[in-house]
Amino acid sequence: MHEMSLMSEVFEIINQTVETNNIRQVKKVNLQVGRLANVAPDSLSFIFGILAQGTKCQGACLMVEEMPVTANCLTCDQEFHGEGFPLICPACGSRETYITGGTEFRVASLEVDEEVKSNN
Amino acid sequence: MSGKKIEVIQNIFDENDRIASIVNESLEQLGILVINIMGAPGAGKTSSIINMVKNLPGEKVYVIEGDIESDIDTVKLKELGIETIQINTNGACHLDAPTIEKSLQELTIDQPGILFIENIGNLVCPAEFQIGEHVKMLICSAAEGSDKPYKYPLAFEKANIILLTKCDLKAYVDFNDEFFLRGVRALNKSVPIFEVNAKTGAGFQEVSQWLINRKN
Repeated sequence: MHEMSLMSEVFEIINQTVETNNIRQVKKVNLQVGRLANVAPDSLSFIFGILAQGTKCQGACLMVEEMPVTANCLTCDQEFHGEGFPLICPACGSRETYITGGTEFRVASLEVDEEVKSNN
Repeated sequence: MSGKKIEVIQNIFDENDRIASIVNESLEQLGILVINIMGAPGAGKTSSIINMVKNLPGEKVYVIEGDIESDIDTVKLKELGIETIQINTNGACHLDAPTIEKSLQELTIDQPGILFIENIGNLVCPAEFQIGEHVKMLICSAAEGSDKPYKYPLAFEKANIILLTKCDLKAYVDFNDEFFLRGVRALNKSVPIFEVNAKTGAGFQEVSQWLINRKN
Protein backbone atom coordinates (compact mmCIF):
# COMPACT_ATOMS: atom_id res chain seq x y z
CA MET A 1 0.00 0.00 0.00
CA HIS A 2 1.92 3.01 -1.22
CA GLU A 3 -0.91 4.84 -2.92
CA MET A 4 -0.44 7.78 -0.54
CA SER A 5 3.15 8.43 -1.64
CA LEU A 6 2.26 7.85 -5.29
CA MET A 7 -0.63 10.29 -5.02
CA SER A 8 1.74 12.85 -3.53
CA GLU A 9 3.80 12.50 -6.73
CA VAL A 10 0.60 12.96 -8.76
CA PHE A 11 -0.02 16.21 -6.90
CA GLU A 12 3.57 17.35 -7.57
CA ILE A 13 2.84 16.97 -11.28
CA ILE A 14 -0.55 18.67 -10.97
CA ASN A 15 0.92 21.58 -9.00
CA GLN A 16 3.67 22.11 -11.58
CA THR A 17 1.03 22.14 -14.32
CA VAL A 18 -1.17 24.54 -12.34
CA GLU A 19 1.78 26.88 -11.82
CA THR A 20 2.91 26.95 -15.42
CA ASN A 21 -0.61 27.38 -16.81
CA ASN A 22 -3.17 29.95 -15.90
CA ILE A 23 -5.47 27.65 -13.95
CA ARG A 24 -8.26 28.75 -11.63
CA GLN A 25 -9.78 25.38 -10.88
CA VAL A 26 -8.99 21.80 -11.83
CA LYS A 27 -12.18 19.99 -12.79
CA LYS A 28 -10.90 16.60 -13.78
CA VAL A 29 -7.63 14.70 -13.47
CA ASN A 30 -7.10 11.90 -15.99
CA LEU A 31 -4.69 9.19 -14.88
CA GLN A 32 -3.51 6.17 -16.84
CA VAL A 33 -2.73 3.12 -14.75
CA GLY A 34 -1.38 -0.11 -16.22
CA ARG A 35 -2.94 -3.40 -15.18
CA LEU A 36 0.44 -4.53 -13.85
CA ALA A 37 1.21 -1.29 -12.00
CA ASN A 38 0.05 -2.78 -8.68
CA VAL A 39 -1.93 0.34 -7.91
CA ALA A 40 -5.45 0.13 -6.50
CA PRO A 41 -7.77 2.66 -8.23
CA ASP A 42 -10.21 2.77 -5.30
CA SER A 43 -7.41 3.74 -2.92
CA LEU A 44 -6.23 6.40 -5.37
CA SER A 45 -9.67 8.02 -5.46
CA PHE A 46 -9.95 7.96 -1.69
CA ILE A 47 -6.53 9.55 -1.17
CA PHE A 48 -7.08 12.04 -4.00
CA GLY A 49 -10.15 13.37 -2.19
CA ILE A 50 -8.14 13.89 0.99
CA LEU A 51 -5.11 15.53 -0.64
CA ALA A 52 -7.30 17.74 -2.86
CA GLN A 53 -8.83 19.55 0.08
CA GLY A 54 -7.86 23.21 0.14
CA THR A 55 -6.17 23.02 -3.27
CA LYS A 56 -7.25 23.93 -6.78
CA CYS A 57 -8.26 20.27 -7.16
CA GLN A 58 -10.90 20.42 -4.43
CA GLY A 59 -14.11 18.98 -5.86
CA ALA A 60 -12.31 17.71 -8.95
CA CYS A 61 -13.10 14.34 -10.41
CA LEU A 62 -10.39 11.68 -10.68
CA MET A 63 -10.64 9.44 -13.74
CA VAL A 64 -8.50 6.32 -13.84
CA GLU A 65 -8.04 4.72 -17.25
CA GLU A 66 -6.83 1.15 -16.99
CA MET A 67 -4.09 0.44 -19.55
CA PRO A 68 -3.78 -3.00 -21.12
CA VAL A 69 -0.80 -5.31 -20.90
CA THR A 70 1.21 -5.38 -24.11
CA ALA A 71 4.38 -7.30 -24.81
CA ASN A 72 6.85 -8.10 -27.54
CA CYS A 73 8.10 -11.58 -28.33
CA LEU A 74 11.90 -11.86 -28.35
CA THR A 75 11.72 -15.04 -30.45
CA CYS A 76 9.45 -14.00 -33.31
CA ASP A 77 9.10 -10.25 -32.72
CA GLN A 78 5.29 -10.49 -32.52
CA GLU A 79 3.57 -7.73 -30.55
CA PHE A 80 0.66 -8.98 -28.48
CA HIS A 81 -1.84 -8.19 -25.73
CA GLY A 82 -1.52 -10.22 -22.55
CA GLU A 83 -4.01 -10.75 -19.75
CA GLY A 84 -1.31 -10.95 -17.09
CA PHE A 85 1.48 -13.26 -16.01
CA PRO A 86 2.82 -15.48 -17.41
CA LEU A 87 3.19 -13.72 -20.77
CA ILE A 88 3.23 -16.23 -23.60
CA CYS A 89 3.49 -15.23 -27.27
CA PRO A 90 0.24 -16.27 -29.02
CA ALA A 91 2.07 -16.64 -32.34
CA CYS A 92 4.94 -18.96 -31.42
CA GLY A 93 4.34 -19.93 -27.78
CA SER A 94 7.61 -18.42 -26.59
CA ARG A 95 7.89 -17.22 -23.03
CA GLU A 96 10.81 -14.98 -23.86
CA THR A 97 8.95 -11.73 -23.96
CA TYR A 98 9.33 -8.26 -22.63
CA ILE A 99 6.62 -5.97 -21.36
CA THR A 100 6.00 -2.88 -23.48
CA GLY A 101 2.86 -1.62 -21.74
CA GLY A 102 0.78 -2.22 -18.65
CA THR A 103 3.16 -1.08 -15.92
CA GLU A 104 2.72 2.64 -16.54
CA PHE A 105 1.25 5.06 -14.05
CA ARG A 106 0.97 8.59 -15.38
CA VAL A 107 -0.96 11.82 -15.37
CA ALA A 108 -2.42 12.00 -18.87
CA SER A 109 -4.24 15.33 -18.76
CA LEU A 110 -6.08 17.87 -16.65
CA GLU A 111 -9.43 19.44 -17.45
CA VAL A 112 -9.46 22.92 -16.01
CA ASP A 113 -11.08 26.32 -15.81
CA GLU A 114 -8.66 29.09 -16.60
CA GLU A 115 -8.32 32.32 -14.69
CA VAL A 116 -10.49 35.09 -16.07
CA LYS A 117 -8.15 37.67 -17.55
CA SER A 118 -8.85 41.16 -16.39
CA ASN A 119 -8.81 43.58 -19.32
CA ASN A 120 -9.43 46.70 -17.28
CA MET B 1 -14.28 31.57 -18.33
CA SER B 2 -13.85 28.44 -20.39
CA GLY B 3 -13.04 24.80 -19.76
CA LYS B 4 -9.79 23.56 -21.24
CA LYS B 5 -7.95 20.28 -21.46
CA ILE B 6 -4.23 20.35 -20.77
CA GLU B 7 -2.16 17.39 -21.92
CA VAL B 8 0.39 16.39 -19.31
CA ILE B 9 1.58 12.81 -20.02
CA GLN B 10 4.01 12.60 -17.17
CA ASN B 11 4.97 9.36 -15.49
CA ILE B 12 4.60 9.24 -11.71
CA PHE B 13 7.84 7.23 -11.49
CA ASP B 14 9.80 9.69 -13.69
CA GLU B 15 11.35 11.61 -10.82
CA ASN B 16 12.21 8.42 -8.92
CA ASP B 17 13.72 6.86 -12.04
CA ARG B 18 15.73 9.99 -12.84
CA ILE B 19 17.32 9.94 -9.38
CA ALA B 20 17.83 6.16 -9.63
CA SER B 21 19.84 6.70 -12.84
CA ILE B 22 22.01 9.30 -11.13
CA VAL B 23 22.68 6.94 -8.18
CA ASN B 24 23.36 4.05 -10.56
CA GLU B 25 25.82 5.97 -12.72
CA SER B 26 27.65 7.75 -9.92
CA LEU B 27 28.23 4.48 -8.05
CA GLU B 28 29.28 2.71 -11.22
CA GLN B 29 31.93 5.38 -11.76
CA LEU B 30 33.25 4.57 -8.29
CA GLY B 31 33.47 0.90 -9.23
CA ILE B 32 30.54 -0.14 -7.07
CA LEU B 33 28.13 -2.91 -8.06
CA VAL B 34 24.75 -2.19 -6.45
CA ILE B 35 22.54 -5.12 -5.44
CA ASN B 36 18.89 -4.48 -4.54
CA ILE B 37 17.91 -7.31 -2.21
CA MET B 38 14.20 -7.99 -2.16
CA GLY B 39 12.20 -10.61 -0.32
CA ALA B 40 9.43 -11.24 2.17
CA PRO B 41 9.95 -10.62 5.90
CA GLY B 42 11.92 -13.53 7.31
CA ALA B 43 13.04 -14.84 3.92
CA GLY B 44 16.66 -14.65 5.04
CA LYS B 45 17.86 -11.41 3.42
CA THR B 46 20.29 -10.43 6.17
CA SER B 47 21.55 -13.98 6.67
CA SER B 48 22.17 -14.19 2.94
CA ILE B 49 24.14 -10.91 2.98
CA ILE B 50 26.31 -12.26 5.82
CA ASN B 51 26.99 -15.47 3.90
CA MET B 52 27.71 -13.68 0.64
CA VAL B 53 30.16 -11.36 2.40
CA LYS B 54 31.95 -14.35 3.94
CA ASN B 55 32.55 -15.58 0.42
CA LEU B 56 33.79 -12.23 -0.90
CA PRO B 57 37.15 -11.99 0.90
CA GLY B 58 38.81 -9.77 -1.66
CA GLU B 59 35.91 -7.34 -2.06
CA LYS B 60 35.08 -4.23 -0.12
CA VAL B 61 31.43 -4.56 0.92
CA TYR B 62 29.00 -1.86 1.93
CA VAL B 63 25.44 -2.43 3.20
CA ILE B 64 22.41 -0.17 3.42
CA GLU B 65 19.79 -1.80 5.66
CA GLY B 66 16.20 -0.84 5.02
CA ASP B 67 13.67 -1.56 7.74
CA ILE B 68 10.39 -0.07 8.81
CA GLU B 69 11.68 0.06 12.39
CA SER B 70 14.73 -1.03 14.44
CA ASP B 71 18.46 -1.37 13.79
CA ILE B 72 18.70 -5.06 14.74
CA ASP B 73 20.18 -6.08 11.40
CA THR B 74 22.62 -3.18 11.27
CA VAL B 75 23.96 -4.03 14.73
CA LYS B 76 24.37 -7.65 13.61
CA LEU B 77 26.26 -6.67 10.46
CA LYS B 78 28.46 -4.09 12.19
CA GLU B 79 29.47 -6.69 14.79
CA LEU B 80 30.82 -8.72 11.89
CA GLY B 81 32.85 -5.73 10.73
CA ILE B 82 30.62 -4.96 7.75
CA GLU B 83 30.25 -1.28 6.96
CA THR B 84 26.51 -0.69 7.32
CA ILE B 85 24.13 2.19 7.56
CA GLN B 86 20.49 1.95 8.61
CA ILE B 87 17.42 3.45 6.98
CA ASN B 88 14.15 3.37 8.91
CA THR B 89 11.18 4.18 6.71
CA ASN B 90 8.77 4.53 9.65
CA GLY B 91 5.99 2.74 7.87
CA ALA B 92 6.80 3.07 4.18
CA CYS B 93 6.63 -0.32 2.48
CA HIS B 94 9.61 0.07 0.11
CA LEU B 95 12.82 2.02 -0.46
CA ASP B 96 12.89 4.60 -3.24
CA ALA B 97 15.68 6.35 -5.11
CA PRO B 98 15.55 9.71 -3.24
CA THR B 99 15.91 7.83 0.06
CA ILE B 100 19.00 5.99 -1.22
CA GLU B 101 20.51 9.15 -2.69
CA LYS B 102 20.16 10.86 0.68
CA SER B 103 21.51 7.93 2.70
CA LEU B 104 24.57 7.66 0.46
CA GLN B 105 25.78 10.94 1.94
CA GLU B 106 26.35 9.03 5.19
CA LEU B 107 28.31 6.26 3.53
CA THR B 108 32.04 6.71 2.99
CA ILE B 109 32.91 4.96 -0.23
CA ASP B 110 36.69 4.82 -0.29
CA GLN B 111 37.23 1.92 -2.67
CA PRO B 112 35.46 -0.11 -5.36
CA GLY B 113 33.33 -3.03 -4.25
CA ILE B 114 29.79 -4.24 -3.78
CA LEU B 115 26.92 -2.35 -2.16
CA PHE B 116 24.07 -4.50 -0.88
CA ILE B 117 20.86 -2.59 -0.29
CA GLU B 118 18.46 -4.65 1.78
CA ASN B 119 14.98 -3.54 0.85
CA ILE B 120 11.95 -3.60 3.15
CA GLY B 121 10.60 -7.12 3.70
CA ASN B 122 7.80 -7.14 1.16
CA LEU B 123 7.27 -8.94 -2.15
CA VAL B 124 5.02 -6.32 -3.73
CA CYS B 125 6.19 -2.69 -3.69
CA PRO B 126 10.01 -3.02 -3.81
CA ALA B 127 9.74 -4.59 -7.26
CA GLU B 128 8.22 -1.39 -8.63
CA PHE B 129 10.79 1.16 -7.48
CA GLN B 130 14.24 1.43 -8.98
CA ILE B 131 16.75 2.53 -6.38
CA GLY B 132 19.89 2.75 -8.51
CA GLU B 133 20.69 -0.96 -8.55
CA HIS B 134 22.61 -2.90 -11.18
CA VAL B 135 21.15 -6.21 -10.00
CA LYS B 136 17.81 -7.11 -8.48
CA MET B 137 18.33 -10.10 -6.20
CA LEU B 138 15.22 -11.91 -5.03
CA ILE B 139 15.48 -13.92 -1.84
CA CYS B 140 12.79 -16.52 -1.47
CA SER B 141 12.73 -19.18 1.23
CA ALA B 142 11.55 -22.75 0.88
CA ALA B 143 9.46 -22.17 4.00
CA GLU B 144 7.34 -19.60 2.16
CA GLY B 145 6.05 -22.31 -0.13
CA SER B 146 6.54 -23.19 -3.77
CA ASP B 147 3.56 -21.11 -4.95
CA LYS B 148 5.24 -17.72 -4.49
CA PRO B 149 6.08 -17.10 -8.19
CA TYR B 150 2.39 -17.48 -9.00
CA LYS B 151 1.27 -15.15 -6.23
CA TYR B 152 3.89 -12.40 -6.60
CA PRO B 153 4.78 -12.50 -10.31
CA LEU B 154 6.29 -9.02 -10.71
CA ALA B 155 9.11 -9.65 -8.23
CA PHE B 156 10.05 -12.90 -10.02
CA GLU B 157 9.67 -11.35 -13.45
CA LYS B 158 12.08 -8.52 -12.60
CA ALA B 159 14.70 -10.55 -10.71
CA ASN B 160 18.21 -10.85 -12.18
CA ILE B 161 19.16 -13.56 -9.68
CA ILE B 162 17.09 -15.67 -7.27
CA LEU B 163 18.29 -17.28 -4.04
CA LEU B 164 16.14 -20.09 -2.68
CA THR B 165 17.01 -20.07 1.01
CA LYS B 166 16.34 -22.50 3.88
CA CYS B 167 16.68 -25.41 1.50
CA ASP B 168 17.25 -27.72 4.48
CA LEU B 169 13.56 -27.19 5.34
CA LYS B 170 12.21 -28.40 2.01
CA ALA B 171 11.23 -31.84 3.28
CA TYR B 172 9.47 -30.41 6.34
CA VAL B 173 7.33 -27.92 4.42
CA ASP B 174 6.50 -30.14 1.43
CA PHE B 175 8.31 -27.82 -0.96
CA ASN B 176 7.50 -28.77 -4.54
CA ASP B 177 10.63 -28.08 -6.63
CA GLU B 178 9.00 -28.77 -9.96
CA PHE B 179 6.01 -26.48 -9.26
CA PHE B 180 8.29 -23.68 -8.05
CA LEU B 181 10.61 -23.92 -11.05
CA ARG B 182 7.74 -24.02 -13.51
CA GLY B 183 6.34 -20.85 -11.93
CA VAL B 184 9.68 -19.03 -12.09
CA ARG B 185 10.46 -20.12 -15.64
CA ALA B 186 7.06 -18.97 -16.89
CA LEU B 187 7.95 -15.47 -15.74
CA ASN B 188 11.68 -15.36 -16.19
CA LYS B 189 13.16 -17.91 -18.52
CA SER B 190 16.83 -17.36 -17.89
CA VAL B 191 17.23 -16.02 -14.33
CA PRO B 192 19.84 -18.00 -12.38
CA ILE B 193 18.46 -19.74 -9.29
CA PHE B 194 20.82 -20.68 -6.45
CA GLU B 195 19.76 -23.07 -3.70
CA VAL B 196 21.36 -22.04 -0.43
CA ASN B 197 21.37 -22.72 3.28
CA ALA B 198 22.56 -19.92 5.53
CA LYS B 199 22.99 -22.27 8.52
CA THR B 200 25.68 -24.31 6.81
CA GLY B 201 26.71 -21.73 4.22
CA ALA B 202 25.98 -24.21 1.43
CA GLY B 203 25.57 -22.64 -2.00
CA PHE B 204 26.85 -19.17 -1.14
CA GLN B 205 30.27 -19.61 -2.69
CA GLU B 206 28.56 -19.98 -6.06
CA VAL B 207 26.40 -16.90 -5.42
CA SER B 208 29.41 -14.78 -4.52
CA GLN B 209 31.26 -16.02 -7.61
CA TRP B 210 28.26 -14.98 -9.71
CA LEU B 211 28.47 -11.49 -8.16
CA ILE B 212 32.19 -11.23 -8.86
CA ASN B 213 31.65 -12.29 -12.47
CA ARG B 214 28.83 -9.76 -12.80
CA LYS B 215 31.01 -7.00 -11.38
CA ASN B 216 34.07 -7.62 -13.59
